[in-house]
Amino acid sequence: MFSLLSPISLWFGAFLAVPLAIHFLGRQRLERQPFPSLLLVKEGFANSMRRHRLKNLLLLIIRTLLIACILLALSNPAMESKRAAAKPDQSLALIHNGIYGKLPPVDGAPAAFAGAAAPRGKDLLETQRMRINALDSAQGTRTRAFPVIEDGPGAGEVAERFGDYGEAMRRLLSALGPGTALINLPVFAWKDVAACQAELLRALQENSGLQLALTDFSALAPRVSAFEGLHATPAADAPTVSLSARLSPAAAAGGGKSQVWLDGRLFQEAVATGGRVEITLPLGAGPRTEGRFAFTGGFAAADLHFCFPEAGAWSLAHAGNALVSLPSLGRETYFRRIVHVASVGEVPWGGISPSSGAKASAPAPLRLVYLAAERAASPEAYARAVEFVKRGGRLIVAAGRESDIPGLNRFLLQPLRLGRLGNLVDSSGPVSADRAALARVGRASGDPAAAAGNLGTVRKRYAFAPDSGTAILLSQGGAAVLAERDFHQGHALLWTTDIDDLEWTDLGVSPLVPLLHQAFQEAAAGERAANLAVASDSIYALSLADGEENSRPEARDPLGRPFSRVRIEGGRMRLGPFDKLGLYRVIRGKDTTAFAVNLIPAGMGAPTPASEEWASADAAAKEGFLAACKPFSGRISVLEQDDPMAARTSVRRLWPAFLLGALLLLFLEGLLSSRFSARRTPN
Amino acid sequence: MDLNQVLSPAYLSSLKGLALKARMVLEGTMAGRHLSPFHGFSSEFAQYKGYVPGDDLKFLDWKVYGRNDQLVTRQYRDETNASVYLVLDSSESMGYAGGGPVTKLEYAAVLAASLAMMAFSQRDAISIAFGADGPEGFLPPRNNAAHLRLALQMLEDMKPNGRTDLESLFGKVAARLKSGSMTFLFTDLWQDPKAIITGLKEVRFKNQAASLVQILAPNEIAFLDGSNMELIDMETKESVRLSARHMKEQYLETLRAHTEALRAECFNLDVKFLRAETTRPYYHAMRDLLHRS
Repeated sequence: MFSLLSPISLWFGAFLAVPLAIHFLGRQRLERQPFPSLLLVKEGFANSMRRHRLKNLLLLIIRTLLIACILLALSNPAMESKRAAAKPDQSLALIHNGIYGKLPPVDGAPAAFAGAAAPRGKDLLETQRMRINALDSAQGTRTRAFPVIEDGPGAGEVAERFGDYGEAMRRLLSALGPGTALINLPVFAWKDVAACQAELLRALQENSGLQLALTDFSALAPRVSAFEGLHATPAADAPTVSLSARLSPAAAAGGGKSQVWLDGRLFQEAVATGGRVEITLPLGAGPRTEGRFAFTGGFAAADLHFCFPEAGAWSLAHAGNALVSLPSLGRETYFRRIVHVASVGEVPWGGISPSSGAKASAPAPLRLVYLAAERAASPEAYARAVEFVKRGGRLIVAAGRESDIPGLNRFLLQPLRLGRLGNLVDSSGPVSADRAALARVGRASGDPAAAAGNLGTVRKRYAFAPDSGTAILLSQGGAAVLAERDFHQGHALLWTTDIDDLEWTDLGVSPLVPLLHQAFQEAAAGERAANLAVASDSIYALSLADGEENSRPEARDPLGRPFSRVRIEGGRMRLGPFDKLGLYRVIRGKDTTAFAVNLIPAGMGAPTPASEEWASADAAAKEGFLAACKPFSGRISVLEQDDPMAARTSVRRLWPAFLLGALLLLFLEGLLSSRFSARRTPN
Repeated sequence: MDLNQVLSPAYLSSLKGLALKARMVLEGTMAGRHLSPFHGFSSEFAQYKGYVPGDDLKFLDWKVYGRNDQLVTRQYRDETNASVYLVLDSSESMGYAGGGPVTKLEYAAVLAASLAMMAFSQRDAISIAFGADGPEGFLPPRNNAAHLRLALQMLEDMKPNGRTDLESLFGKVAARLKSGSMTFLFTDLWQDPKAIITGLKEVRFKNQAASLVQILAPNEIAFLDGSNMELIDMETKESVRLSARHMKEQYLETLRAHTEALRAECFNLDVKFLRAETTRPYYHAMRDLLHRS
């Protein structure tokens, strides 16, 4: 049976009409002209015109056939050979319509969430459907498709969430009847398939006529960070930090014993279970407000840096991954490769050095520097900060009572052309940002919901005189609250509020947390690498305090709506999988924990440690699954994503024949044209 | 002044009045020429003849009488002024401009008018005849200013009409020719060469010095370029669909053979043959014409 594996090319069939149109339009466009006498024209007219018409007809046929051959070659024609496999009684396929299909554009603008990625995501979904159509066409079956997300937005659209691959697989297998069957599975993450390994093996065992065709899309699928959580519970008196991390295989094999050192002294020991270790670090106990933890025992990153400025804002730097908490916001979020320091003099401009326990590699370059409560520093240090922004870095500056405002103005804000900070002034009353400005920032941040939040109050802020060209978020009273500016290749953002004002409630939680998050995210995404936090399709586990289990903390998605995929068991709150990318929040009484969910797109330059980790984990999952399926290896085939019919070894591809035909026709066309031209030339 | 520009058909077509055009052409033609081509007609010595009473004594050659004591008179080849016949083919096909600034008939009229004025200045009689298959208009040879004006008016009023029959036209005109005259035939020669030659012979048999001027438009010489055309014969209204681009080489070859056949026959008949393209400056055509005459 003849079939086309990429029939979409036939849309270009309109090109067939080109030679026909030229031929017939040319005939219709008759030019009438009087001529003195046809005496000489009529001599030999009949012979000549007959030859001319014959040539035109032949050329028309050849050119039409030429285009048809090219179109057919592009349509990837195939024909069942004599070795054709028997037609299966049933054909089933899984269709992944989850957000895996939503790849970000290769050369797109900001790696913001969602929207911009839709076209390619749709393509991937379309590819799956076309492959099924092609298979049906080739083997004469009617495949039943099982979407991963049943209640998706539409058959042709990619859903905004991940979907449950295992659940879809169970639905598919339950629909499997007796008799021969072919199951097509798109594979975006091999761990998904590995998770269904038992069910698949059972089905293969029970049905000897069952064949599996797995199409490997993993190269196209977004890579997902495997890091599962570093979060803090900032309590005013005794903040603690919980660290949940996976150990390297070597460390896990060695017993997984980990040690936490504080400023060179053993602070705590932890024993890993199942390759994971969870440590709770009481911070801020006693007079200590600053210190450095070091880890041994196989952590990929061995440094944890923390500090407690007077105002209570604190941060953790974990191998360049910063956990930032602003007490006034009551939220913390986690970013990769961000430096948060209290003084510009402390910034490791050469990049974040790899941990001593990890393999030697180049320092990770800085992407964003957050200067909070900047203290007096040397002009050279400021100059390095300006140079950092010039070369594409992102800088966020927040001023506090200890800030050296004149120095800041002279050596940092003015060189960055942001403006000048003045004296500290009271600013009572609610801050209602200029709606238009807020909406603009909201749009720029890719989070329109940010424009519609509740507004908070600003008690203290600095007078601010912006430079021309600086974008400003204004309060209701017309005072600047947030200033931002592109500077050379980089970007600078300035909070003009007093970061040390304990009663500072900022601009209201709803707009500002996403806004701040987005600012960090945009800043960190400069090199299109991982900036992100919590794994996208993993489960985010949150330890709950005693009694908190009963109160059931409230979880909200990035749009502020309740997030229902929450399970509380064993004193831990497990959230996910997540169906939207963005900032999630868990509201626990007075405290709110926020974490970001994002994807790390594949093929975006050098792989980050996280994606390498992910890739190796996925490769291991693939290897494990195929090893487990070895007894059924004759019935399982793994296809490349660009090889739609590879499983059907019985199919003979015909595109080379059509291409050869096209070349022959091209040669014939040239020969015919030159032959007639030669005849026309008089001796 | 650049005569090529001033006397180009494109320029002259903007002028009104054939007399003016003809005068300009004539002046351009005669510029730098010292001898009129018509000079010898009335003054060329032919022979001596014995004096008989009654002969005009002014032709008596006194020098011969002084040397030989014989009375002889000098006789000239043409004692009287010559007649110049200007015959124009005014068939429909002559109304074709075909990429040129003027129609073939207009071009022929300017050439004829120029010749007429030149002949008038030499005191030769001028006769005009035009038509498609017979003399539609005919002006017998005269030599006076009123006649010249009449001739120019006739040339100016000519309209292309009728179907070419040069055999008939030349035959009927030949019947009215006087011996010892000059005939200029202006036509596009769009007819079977045999018929043309038959007509031409009749003119030549009148012992005429004849010149045949083939006037063609640029599109007739280079042919057309369209790929899908319908050509309509201006005289027969017959039409034919063809690819002119494709037929071009063949047409040009046929035209060359047609012209060569006529040129050879003209040579045999001692008829001067000249081809003039309507884009060619008139005085060039005139010089060629007079030089060959």
